Amino acid sequence: MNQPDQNAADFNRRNFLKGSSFAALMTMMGGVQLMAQDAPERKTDAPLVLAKVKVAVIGLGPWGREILDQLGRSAQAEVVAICDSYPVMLRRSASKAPEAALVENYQDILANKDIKAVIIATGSHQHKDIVIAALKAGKHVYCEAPLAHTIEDARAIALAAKEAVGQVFQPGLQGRSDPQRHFLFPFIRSGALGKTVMARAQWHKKDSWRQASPNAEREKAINWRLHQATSPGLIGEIGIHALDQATWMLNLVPIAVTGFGSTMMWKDDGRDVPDTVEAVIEFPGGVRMNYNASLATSFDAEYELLYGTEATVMMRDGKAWMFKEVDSALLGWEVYARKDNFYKETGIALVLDGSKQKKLSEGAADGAPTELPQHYHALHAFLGNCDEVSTAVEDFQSNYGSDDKLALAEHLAGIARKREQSRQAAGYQEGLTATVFALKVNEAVNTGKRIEFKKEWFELA
Amino acid sequence: MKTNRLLNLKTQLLLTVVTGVMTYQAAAQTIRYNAQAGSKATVAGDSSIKTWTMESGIISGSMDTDPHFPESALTNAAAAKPVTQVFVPIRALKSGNATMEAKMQLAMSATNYPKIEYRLIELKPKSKPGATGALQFDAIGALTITGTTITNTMPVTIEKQDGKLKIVGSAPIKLTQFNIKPPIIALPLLPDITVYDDLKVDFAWMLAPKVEKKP
Repeated sequence: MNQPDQNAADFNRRNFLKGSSFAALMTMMGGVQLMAQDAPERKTDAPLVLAKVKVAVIGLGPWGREILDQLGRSAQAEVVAICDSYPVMLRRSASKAPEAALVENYQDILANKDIKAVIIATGSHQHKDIVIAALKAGKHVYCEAPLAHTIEDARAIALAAKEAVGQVFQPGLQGRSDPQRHFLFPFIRSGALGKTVMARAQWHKKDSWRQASPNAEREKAINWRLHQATSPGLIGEIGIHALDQATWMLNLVPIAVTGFGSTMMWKDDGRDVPDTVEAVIEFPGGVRMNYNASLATSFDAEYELLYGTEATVMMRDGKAWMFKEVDSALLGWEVYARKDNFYKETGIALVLDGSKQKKLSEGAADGAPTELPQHYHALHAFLGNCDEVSTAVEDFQSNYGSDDKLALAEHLAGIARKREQSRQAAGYQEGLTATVFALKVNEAVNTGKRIEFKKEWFELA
Repeated sequence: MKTNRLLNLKTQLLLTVVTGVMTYQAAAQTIRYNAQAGSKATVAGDSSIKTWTMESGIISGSMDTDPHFPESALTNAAAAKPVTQVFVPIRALKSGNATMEAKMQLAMSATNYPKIEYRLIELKPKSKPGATGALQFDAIGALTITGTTITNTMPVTIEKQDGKLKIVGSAPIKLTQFNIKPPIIALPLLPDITVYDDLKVDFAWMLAPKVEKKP
């Protein structure tokens, strides 16, 4: 689950900074901008016709509606049904998918053979039954992160996904499909930051997290994020993405976590989920990650930092900046990069190729490398992979029969290994790992204890 | 006269029966091998900026041989002409780049001609009679791409292991042989990328005897 901007009045420092040339500020602070290459445009060729995937969205809260918005931008999405057990949500979402059937019971979605894929954006505590039933019904499944609010449920989901050979299962770890992150990934893994020192990430937003409801019964259902019985808290709902990115980028496995949580602002409204949380996660070699999130302050919004002995990378608003240490060795490419002023120093902007130089010099100060959000890229990958896997299964079974599941799995794995960057995405194992990681960090936050991670928590039975 | 006619009829009947039995036995000794998972075809080419490859994990089709194939094909002309059909679905060719795959499918008119087809005409032995293991042949066959058929000769090795066949081969081809115009990819602010005419096809085709399913 994620946190969409809910309305125009929800304007915070982050928005202000976005609109007031945050990029220029970073440049002044000594950053080197790391930008992914945009997909090449065709100047003469006719546009390629992509196969459409008939998809349904289950769960139409704020995030489900945000997903519908992104699907509306996709040439591959054909939203044929939307589903929510609360009719008000259905009506509210109908205009975002005018051709879609409005369905109250998700079982009706699963019984519809025309629907090839489902995107599940219900409360985390409701994922398990829907995901497992959808996989059994032969659907490709995109399940929002975290997979579930308990490790047992997350493992059951991951196991069902593993057994569903020939079906795509993608957890909503959207950063894993972000082209900007894929551009950064080899850069960081190559050791350009030197020895990893530490990591830090934050998410700040002044927001009650509470949704208006017409009655007490609905209030409990709609505000499931405010109660520990149903909610994995700020860490599970929001922090999971930053935790996953840090471990993925740095290739680190957590050893232990110590957490703290307090309700600093939204007191006396019946919630038992802290509105301000902090966690220190320990990794091998003395590396630690500090993560904090708050619903009580919006200062400095959200960002992620990876610190190394040679350089530090900041990821923010779809961009990345490198801050090189003065004594770090030349990497080589800096010679060709744009020079920017940093306080009293001169920094270097990374330029991928000559064709981007003009664009960078004209628009890099304010423009993000892509205007599309991470979850658009994740959905793009999902839909593309649904089409690819469906045709691959069809070809395999029509030529070799449908008996040998192991051979089919190997065939699909071979295709996945060659998959292009824009269609790379997390799978069930990454979904389980990130969910277990986040749930245990959340447990540490709720209990204030130090928890040591056990290897078996991350393994599938 | 009557006795002679009767004898002739009996002889003809006997010959017919014997011939029939022999034909039946010969037919019974034909083994149908079907394509198996684990096969792989690779198409490699070059362009004005870089080399490229596409791979397919699917090579379907079948081969009808005598029980002693491939050794029998070294000495027996009939055994060197096993009935063989090979198909590669064009959409199964993967490059890791969806745009490139779509362009390739467009260039090869995949909607109208969804499969690359190959029909073996004859195997010309290169290994000596009595050789064992991976036996070498020149395969002469009819290759059909986008509806255009050419006859080509390519070196192959055929090996039988645990009752299964593995056929490995390689052949250079040209796109223009099949009336395919080498694609040109247009990019903004960059020179067009031209795909060159010459390609190389490598394949490893795995086959196993057909197993009759129980009803």
